[in-house]
Amino acid sequence: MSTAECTSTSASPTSSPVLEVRDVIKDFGGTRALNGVRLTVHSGEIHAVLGANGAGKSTLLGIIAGTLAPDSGDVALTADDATTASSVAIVHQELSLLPNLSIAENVCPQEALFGRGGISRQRRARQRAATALRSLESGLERQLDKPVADLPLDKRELVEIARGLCSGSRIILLDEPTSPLNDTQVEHLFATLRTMADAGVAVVIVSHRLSEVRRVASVATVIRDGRTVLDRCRLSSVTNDELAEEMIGRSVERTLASYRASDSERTIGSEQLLRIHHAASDRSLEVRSGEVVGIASLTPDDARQVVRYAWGVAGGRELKLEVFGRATRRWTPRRAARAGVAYVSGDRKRDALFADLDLRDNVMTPRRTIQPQPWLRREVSSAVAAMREFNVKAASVFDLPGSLSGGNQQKMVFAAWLALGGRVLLLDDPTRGVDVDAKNEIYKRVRAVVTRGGGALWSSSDTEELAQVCDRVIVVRGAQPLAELEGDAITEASIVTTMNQGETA
Amino acid sequence: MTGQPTRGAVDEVGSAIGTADRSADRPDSGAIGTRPPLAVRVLRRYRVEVVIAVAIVLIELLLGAFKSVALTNGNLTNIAQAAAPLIILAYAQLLVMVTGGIDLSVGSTFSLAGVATAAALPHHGVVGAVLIGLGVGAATGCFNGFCVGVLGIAPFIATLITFSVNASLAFVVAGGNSKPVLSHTFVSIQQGHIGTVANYVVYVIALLLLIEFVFLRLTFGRWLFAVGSNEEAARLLGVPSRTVKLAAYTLCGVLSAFAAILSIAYLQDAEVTAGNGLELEAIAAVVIGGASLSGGVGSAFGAFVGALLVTVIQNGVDLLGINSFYNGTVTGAVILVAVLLERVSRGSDGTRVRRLRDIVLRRLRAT
Repeated sequence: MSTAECTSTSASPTSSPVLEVRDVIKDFGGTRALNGVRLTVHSGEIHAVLGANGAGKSTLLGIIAGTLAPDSGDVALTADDATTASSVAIVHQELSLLPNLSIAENVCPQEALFGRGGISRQRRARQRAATALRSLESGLERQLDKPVADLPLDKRELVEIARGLCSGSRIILLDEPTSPLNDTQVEHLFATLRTMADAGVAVVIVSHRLSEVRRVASVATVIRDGRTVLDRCRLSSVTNDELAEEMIGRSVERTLASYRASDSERTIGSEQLLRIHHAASDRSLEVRSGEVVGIASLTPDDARQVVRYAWGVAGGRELKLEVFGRATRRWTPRRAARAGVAYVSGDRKRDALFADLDLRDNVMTPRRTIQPQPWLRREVSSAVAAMREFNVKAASVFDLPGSLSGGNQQKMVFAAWLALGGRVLLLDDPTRGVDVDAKNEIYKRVRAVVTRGGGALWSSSDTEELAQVCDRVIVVRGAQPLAELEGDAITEASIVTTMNQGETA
Repeated sequence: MTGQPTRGAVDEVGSAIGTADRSADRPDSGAIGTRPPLAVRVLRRYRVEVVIAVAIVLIELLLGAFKSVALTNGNLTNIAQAAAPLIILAYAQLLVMVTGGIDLSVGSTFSLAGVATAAALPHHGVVGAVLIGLGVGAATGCFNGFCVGVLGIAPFIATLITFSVNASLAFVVAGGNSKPVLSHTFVSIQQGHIGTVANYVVYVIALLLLIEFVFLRLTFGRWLFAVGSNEEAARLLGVPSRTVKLAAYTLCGVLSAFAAILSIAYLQDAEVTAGNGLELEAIAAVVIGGASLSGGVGSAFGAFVGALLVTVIQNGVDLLGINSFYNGTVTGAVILVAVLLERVSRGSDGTRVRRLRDIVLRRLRAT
């Protein structure tokens, strides 16, 4: 493929590789996670590692970090003769913080937890943590003693990133660092990464968001099925479509295809499915039949909380909720589900999956709760049908959800809820950590439900996604609707602009 | 120390960031890294503990108003003597609970170490007997720590094993009867004085300060909290979590045995069933003191006031002439109140309780 044209690329001729992964093979049981992967990172560059879910990115990171041992091949660090674990800092996708410990201790564990001579060096930890946090403009340097458990998701991610900065490693690997962050936070992060790269640190960033990666990285390596398919490709020489094609190994319908209904197809009914009224501002947010309504906010958590409020799990004392035109009282998930509402969260591990129960149990649990029967009947066949309907790739319904890729796990959660035939979908960042293929499938299925007279309320931290799928986008701050975009006025740029206006207004 | 990053690399990029920051030239850049004043920090850190301490004083004053005996020197000494072993058991339990574990065996270790020490006293002298007692505790704790840390058995189950084994071994060692403690030297371990302060008070306070120091200043203490907070993340950071747990359970066993030694020196008698139910009282004390059963939260000061509160309440029930069968009921009520208080004062996971508080406050304001 285009591999050949890309290999000529390199950073400045003076730089030398600080990290080289050579032909690494790694098997887990019968499956080959890595099949001769290569990665060369030079000092002072920002290097993107791209790949669909299941491509082997996490395994690769584990091997570089030294938590996994390769079956063959090797990892060479040429920076100095330090061991792998200490000269590479990894910012994990799965938050790896210590919730009860303070921000300072989490940012700078090498001082707080390891210190010197068995004595914890709290003061040094605080100073170094403050420096790292300040460079991210996070505002967290003023709350160094606060336990991390009390922070919202985006701030936690910043703590984790700050830990990477504070580690002082010559190589820093960031695994999907931007997903919970808003655009301002991303800007500060990127600025910090550029500063670090200028200081000679090798920055490796793993991300799904191609256009975002492009803003910060200069070089990309694409991995597919445990193999490197594009090695050190200069990002300016490839388009996003070409990269996406390499990632999934065949041409997709244009990655940025719009899943919005065109004006002619739009059949927005008059039926009001959902209405959230914000008392203080007397503004409300509606979902009518036939539309996908996006909800965006500068702090991603705001949008998410509104969706969770409609599901009966988040506060919102200043809000009033109407479902199918009827005011609700003491709204709970159970009542919501019985009324024909479904909720899909992108935080699968926390909100949706029962890791110790098999796929059948996972798929059938919503039905058991919503349409309880005295005994379990035809569960296996129902589960198989629901999963087939949604094209979930699994060997057996008696497997545990851990055996599925992120994309398939998420499709399974969708399958479980859509099988109940609910008409109102509450989607809480539903494609987080899901590969391009699964995303497209999910977009299509949601559109199908909506076309049949349903409606969806969709929160996402990914504005690109909102621009792709939504018929209307509502920007909120706190729980208050600020502005609304409709139809072709919705572009990634317009959403971002509106969000930022909302902040200054 | 495993996983400690090489210092050279650390300093290098630390300074790289520092440079970027200095160019930003912030006037407040020095102030942010410094800590708030000591008093503020202490109050902030020990909020729950201070509330409990105040509650203890109030309860005592209230008791004194009804029964003048309550505030006499004699009664307060009684409380202190009775509380000392429980406080030390609470310290023991705390060490394990901050790692996210639980030790059900502290009560029966207490019984076994007590009778073993008393049985060894006539044959091995005071030092020998004490060493044997502490050895029993260390061995038990080591076994627990091995099961939990190395074999990965759930703490509840691992310590259920030693709970059961030690309770029965106590009967084996004592031959079914209690063992008298006749050595004056041994009794003076508990009864003696350093200056004007009784030994048992010294032990309790010294251990309090020592444990707080370890918790807050030593890397080992921070490891206990790190493991209890998120074991996987701690391991990824290079914390030797197995060793940490092994050490926590071992120290827990040693402290349990030490509590038993104090107790038999006080009572001058080693009962086979002396520790029955004490594991639960110790857990109660630690929980009242603000520790979390899921780990990562807790302080020695909290364990101290928690155990003291439990003892003070038992003493109060006694003084008021209430049937001592009600002890447990009152303790239960105290645990409930303490846990609710704690949830109100904490932010994130107390939503429901806070809502209740808000409603109450609004009603109060309305009237």
